[in-house]
Amino acid sequence: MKFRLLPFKNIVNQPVRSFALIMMVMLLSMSMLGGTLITQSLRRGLNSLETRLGADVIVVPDEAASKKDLESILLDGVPGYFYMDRKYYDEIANKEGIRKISAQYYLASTKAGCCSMPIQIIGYDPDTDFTVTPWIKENGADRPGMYEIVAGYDINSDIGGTIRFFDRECKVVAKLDKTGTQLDNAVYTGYDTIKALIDASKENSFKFFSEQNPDDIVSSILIDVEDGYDIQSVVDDINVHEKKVQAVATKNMLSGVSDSLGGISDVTRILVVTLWILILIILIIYFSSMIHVRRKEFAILRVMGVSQKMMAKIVFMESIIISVVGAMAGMILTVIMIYPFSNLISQQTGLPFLTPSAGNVAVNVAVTFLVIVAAGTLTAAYEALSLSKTDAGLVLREGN
Amino acid sequence: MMRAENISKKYPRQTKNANYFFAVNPMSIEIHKGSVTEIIGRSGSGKTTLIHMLAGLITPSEGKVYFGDKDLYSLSDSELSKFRNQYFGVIPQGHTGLFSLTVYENVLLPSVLYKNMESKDEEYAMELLQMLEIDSLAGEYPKSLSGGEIRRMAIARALINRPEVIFADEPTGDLDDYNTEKVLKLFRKLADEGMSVVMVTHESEAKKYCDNIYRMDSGNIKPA
Repeated sequence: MKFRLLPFKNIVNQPVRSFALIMMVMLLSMSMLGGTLITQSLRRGLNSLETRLGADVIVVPDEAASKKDLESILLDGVPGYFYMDRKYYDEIANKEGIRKISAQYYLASTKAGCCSMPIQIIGYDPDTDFTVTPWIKENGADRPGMYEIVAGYDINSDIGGTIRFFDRECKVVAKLDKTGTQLDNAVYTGYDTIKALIDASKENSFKFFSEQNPDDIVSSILIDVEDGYDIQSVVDDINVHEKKVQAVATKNMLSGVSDSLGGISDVTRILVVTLWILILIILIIYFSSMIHVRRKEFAILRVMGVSQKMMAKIVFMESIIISVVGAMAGMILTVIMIYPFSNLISQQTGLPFLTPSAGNVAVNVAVTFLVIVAAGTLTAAYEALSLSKTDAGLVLREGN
Repeated sequence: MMRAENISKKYPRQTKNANYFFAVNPMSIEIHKGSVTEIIGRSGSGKTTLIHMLAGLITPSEGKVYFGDKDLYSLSDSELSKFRNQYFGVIPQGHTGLFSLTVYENVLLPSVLYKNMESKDEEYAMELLQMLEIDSLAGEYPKSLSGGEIRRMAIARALINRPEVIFADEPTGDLDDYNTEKVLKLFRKLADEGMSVVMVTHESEAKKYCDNIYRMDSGNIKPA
């Protein structure tokens, strides 16, 4: 029997009370860490998407109708294909204010060996590309050859592995960094491979590709505007002078996403703050009622010779243990819930969702932990203070 | 050995002529070594308040309580708590089991507040449990005990540190005749060995074990 074990015994042998308190602290830590991680992930996803698109302007055919088609490919992961004549590429390339220009060709696949759903195959030209190559991870080849592909982060195949498209084995020669968008489920390859895959699709009776050839047509033209030139002027120039195509400033294309994200972030922030205040109030009320319920127990300890300081230590230790266990459980649950389901969250919200780096998460976890434990400790201090103000003898009289 | 000089306790409450009332009017009392002192009186007469003031559990509104030459209420809370642990054993009224601890741990707890547990404490705890015939309940938790068993556990707990004074507030309240007599005899035996016992009781049988009997009435005390 050791006096310092009393707080542990109080927790273990009063399981209902302890469980209720731990659950409450757990909710508090979940709301804090979860809210923070979700908000940060959404912001990081948008930043990543902006950076990753790399282009200031995207030109798509009118048949793409609106920016929604592009958004749906990037965010919702719906594979699509729309095409325009390659002459637009040559015409736009000669315009003023264009620093870099590269075309991409979108090809949708049927189910591939790697994936449970159709994925987007994007053809690009490594010679002119400035949006894919910068994101190839270390050790990856930056120029995919024939039947070689660069795989998005979430494609379930490592470098050296193969994926079957239209009955052709394609070798993964590089992987891209994570974006938090459905670009992570796309694969990139050179035009030769695209042509070979189109031929293969014809052999396999996928008739919708029959007339398409990346030598003659492209899906999108990506433009990096020269410094000193106004992006909107370049967009207007293209839209005025080029028929049947539409130029969109990337920032404008993402404005809808950004607005949604802003809305969700605000709602999340308000929810998190409301939940915080609510749970803190409940916690204080719960602790206060606990003081009342345990007044006699504490008075009995005082009768035996437990000083106010020793009493404060007992209450403090109990609170620390409950706070630590509750906070840890809440944080582990939060990480378990957010990380494996980040893709699902991105799909369901239609927003880019890129979870923070391990270091960033560690900082968030540390801050959450400190705040929760401090909250528990302050409540304990309040409890100990109110206890020490009353004579033990008076408390004992109350119960009789 | 122990004396209270002009102690009183008043509580804030609106009365006819004042904003407070006296639970214990100014009074003095002396407790002799090796004596059993009984305090009787009607409910609300101030008996419990008096023994709590003597035991250092309720600060008197006025007056002083001495143990030898030591003024109890001049001590800091830490000093008074340690002093109470070493020299006093208090048996409060009602059910006073700590529900997170077993009967055995409840009894041992006062012995480990200011030092590590020693084997003689463990032996004495078992001896007390046997003496009060609850040794078979040593591993049980208070919630599974009857009122009488909890009361005997509280008596054992008050005795574990071999105190110099026992303050007992209706120690036989939940006990049957057999156990009442057993506890009163135990108090007498301990007093004969040098311990002082101050008890509040309504037990008519108690007087034959006592050296001094006081009656309290409306906060005033006088020999019965």
